[in-house]
Amino acid sequence: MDWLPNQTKLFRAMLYCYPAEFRHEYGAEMEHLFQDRLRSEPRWRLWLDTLTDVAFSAPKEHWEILRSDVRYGARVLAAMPGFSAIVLLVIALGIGATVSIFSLVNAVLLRSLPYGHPGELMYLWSPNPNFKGVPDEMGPTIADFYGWQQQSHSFSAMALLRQRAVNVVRDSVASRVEAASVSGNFFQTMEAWPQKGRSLDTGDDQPGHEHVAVVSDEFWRSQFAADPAVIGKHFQLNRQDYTVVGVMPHDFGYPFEGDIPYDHSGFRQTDIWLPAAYSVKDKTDRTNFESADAAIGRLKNGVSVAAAQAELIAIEARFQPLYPEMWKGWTALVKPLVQTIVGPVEKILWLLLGAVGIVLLIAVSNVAGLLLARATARAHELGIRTALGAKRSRIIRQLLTESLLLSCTGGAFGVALAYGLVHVLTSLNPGKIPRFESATVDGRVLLVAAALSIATGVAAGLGPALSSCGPNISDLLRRGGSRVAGGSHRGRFAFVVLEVALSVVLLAGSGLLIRSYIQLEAVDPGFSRASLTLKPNLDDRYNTSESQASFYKMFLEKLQTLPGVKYAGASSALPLSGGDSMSFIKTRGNENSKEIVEDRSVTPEYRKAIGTPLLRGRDFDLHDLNSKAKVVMVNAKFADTYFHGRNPLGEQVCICVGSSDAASWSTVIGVVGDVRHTALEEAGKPQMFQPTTAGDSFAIRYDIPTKQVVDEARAALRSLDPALTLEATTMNDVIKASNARRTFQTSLLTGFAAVAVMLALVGLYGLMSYTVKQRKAEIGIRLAIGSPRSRVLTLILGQGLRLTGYGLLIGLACAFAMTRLVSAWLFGVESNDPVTFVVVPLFLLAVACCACLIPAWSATRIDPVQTLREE
Amino acid sequence: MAALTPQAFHILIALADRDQHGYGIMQDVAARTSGKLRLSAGTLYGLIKRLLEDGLITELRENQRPEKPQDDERRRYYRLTPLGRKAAKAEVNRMAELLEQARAYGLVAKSN
Repeated sequence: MDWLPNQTKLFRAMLYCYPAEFRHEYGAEMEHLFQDRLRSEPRWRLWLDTLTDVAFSAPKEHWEILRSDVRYGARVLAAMPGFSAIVLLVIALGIGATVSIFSLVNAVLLRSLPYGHPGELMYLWSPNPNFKGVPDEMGPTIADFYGWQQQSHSFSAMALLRQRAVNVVRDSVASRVEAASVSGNFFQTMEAWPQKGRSLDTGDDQPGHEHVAVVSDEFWRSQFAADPAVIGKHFQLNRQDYTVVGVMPHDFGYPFEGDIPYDHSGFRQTDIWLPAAYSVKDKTDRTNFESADAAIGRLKNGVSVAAAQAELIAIEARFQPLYPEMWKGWTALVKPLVQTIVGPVEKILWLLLGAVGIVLLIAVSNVAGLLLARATARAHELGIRTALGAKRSRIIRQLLTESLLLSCTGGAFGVALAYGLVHVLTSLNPGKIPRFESATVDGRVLLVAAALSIATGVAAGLGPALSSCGPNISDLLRRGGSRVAGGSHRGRFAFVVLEVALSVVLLAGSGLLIRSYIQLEAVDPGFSRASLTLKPNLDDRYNTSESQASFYKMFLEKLQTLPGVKYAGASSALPLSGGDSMSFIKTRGNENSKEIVEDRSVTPEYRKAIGTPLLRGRDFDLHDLNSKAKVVMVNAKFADTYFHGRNPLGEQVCICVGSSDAASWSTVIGVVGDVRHTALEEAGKPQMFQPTTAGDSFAIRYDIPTKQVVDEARAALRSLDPALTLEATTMNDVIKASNARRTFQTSLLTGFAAVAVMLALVGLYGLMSYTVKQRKAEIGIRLAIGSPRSRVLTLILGQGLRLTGYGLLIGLACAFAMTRLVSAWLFGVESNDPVTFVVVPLFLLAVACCACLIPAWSATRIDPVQTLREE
Repeated sequence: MAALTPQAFHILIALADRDQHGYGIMQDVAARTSGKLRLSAGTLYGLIKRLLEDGLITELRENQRPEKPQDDERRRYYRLTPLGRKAAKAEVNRMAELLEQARAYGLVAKSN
């Protein structure tokens, strides 16, 4: 019979599945019953019975206790609506903000991309180390791409893509649509399949077969009213007839804004995919430098990125002799697509999540402080329950249930808040963060919200629950709970210090970003914010540079005669537009160098239209356009770099590919101010301007309302060609768009800091009010024996400010260590900026003073006589 | 008070004519149902707990326990309270009424 004790032991262990209360009450009985059955029943049946029984009855007992605790807790909380409302508000704020930011992180970083096996997808770039100042992420030339495709064995598929804006005419309305020309195997390479019809295939990118289109879900809905029979329908694209062959699922819009590095298209997402039909000649022509915006390869199983890159480099080296001398030096670079897409935004999103995590931590600590105060006030009630035989674990369980009830209800409000916040955040669109707008509160976000709510309930409730069960019962009952104040007070002090410290960290971080923002706003961009820029979208009918130039010239002439327009000019690239053109130059004395500078072709009035100051010399005039003597203008940076303090006027510059005969030398006739071209943060680079009669980007200065001038410009364009569309943006909007991400992160971090400070102040205020209530008798006696009221004021104020001081010291130390995390986003300030580190503590001290002043003032109003009578 | 479950009703029946401990109740129920309903420890004591809370049964105090030879000292004995008896009777009446109605509609096979 020696098996009997072992089996009983096993059953005894299983009893731990039941709530402690139930186990203590019935555990011994259940064990006897089990032993009785063990003697009379077959063992296999008993165990089968017992296991099933425990599996069903143990959760039921837990559920029963939870239900009664929740009911009791809800009654307790309903009896103090003010307290409950504040706690719910704090938790809802903390969890709502955290969940909102998490849903952004989820959309951008965690949700997998809508492409099959995205880890295998690689961007294939073709950098040229000979070109200084040009990024490595340049797409290969068309000829090189097809060369790679033919000769490489590392990839199972390879596709190319070029972004282009097209004009679609539906019901006689022309609209500009963001499109991509792709090789026929693009969708197979991406492993992305249409929801309707078919994707493109290799038969579609043959010249003569290319008039088919795959459209996005959004385009299908907006242009075809989600017509189920859309496949096979025709539509006008750049005045040519195209057939819809497929509709992609709603989450596919590759490339999205930000998917391609140094993407200057400004496209939000792609709505039409067209086959890029290249002739055999195009595929081998290395005198034409047309290049892909991106080439994508799907890496074969077992091939490493390094091996694939080595192979492409070797192939590319074989192509070099085919290039003209000035254009040799191309090589290859293979980079994982997912990492390229999310890499640049990963840091900022994690930073924001960290910041909002701090806000949540402050909220939790605030709630813990409130619950501690509450537990102190309830010490009498809890003491009686203990005296009546309630076990310590039972009381802890009850208090934890209450805090979980609060945190889960607060969490539910938080999720509701997050639905709204995510909507606001996505509409703020900071620009160039792929799939940012697709952020939603989905299943994963809800799961995180639930986990955070439970963690908040446990974290905020555990301390107060444990501390309220500590004290001696008889003591408690005798003194009505006042003795526990000491212990819980220290706990609350610690929570307030923690809150102040954490808000200092956030305030310092946001302070640095705000300072950077102000510095950046003060930067002179080198052009006028009031200028309006215009870009007409020509279609395939304007397929020669002559037809384009003649159209642009006519459009410019129209613009110049519009009423209200003071200056109108055109350029080959506008500042902050992403577009750029570079040229090799030589200067006298440096004939053998191969320098590359930003090169613009501009019309004579362009400088005035865009608002760049003329520093020396003169503008281009009509004579310069026709004269044989070539002239150029340069910017101040160019003059400093290449003429080293000499008078730049009259100096000579050669814009040359290979040759340097006398005819290609130009004379500098004017020097203009530096223009920030790539980003406001980046100082102007050497720039050179050549005179021209037309460019594709227009700028105007005007003295009538913007809307009126835009309407006039649109009418002017329509009068020339009604099928074309026009983009119009003021330079102010261009600056705003270029600063969008900075504005977004600065305002978000500032918002978090504001909430953090507010929560810390609520905590401080609550604690000081409570302290005054606790010390009422002591203060009454002080006043009774003649202590002046001002002394009482400074006593309470001093206590509050001392706590704030501790928090400040800890917070500043942490902030010093942590602000370098934001150093990548700082402009014109150091991460240990003295102004920020002086202003932040002063500001916090000032607001803390205000928060303590009300309780301190109420302390001076205490009536000593009445207090003594109460004692 | 929640409605009587069939299992709780069985416990009340088991206690109708004599006080019993948990194992006795279990055996009683099993015998009456020919072993079809076997209340395991967790379910049995969960039900006992709720019947006690609802006041339908009560636990016997030291001086109420059976005389020495029958008293198993290790065990706790339970007794039906007047309220419990009333509840059991009400349940019996409800069932009888139901049976009557079923019979009127010819749903009950005639027994002889």
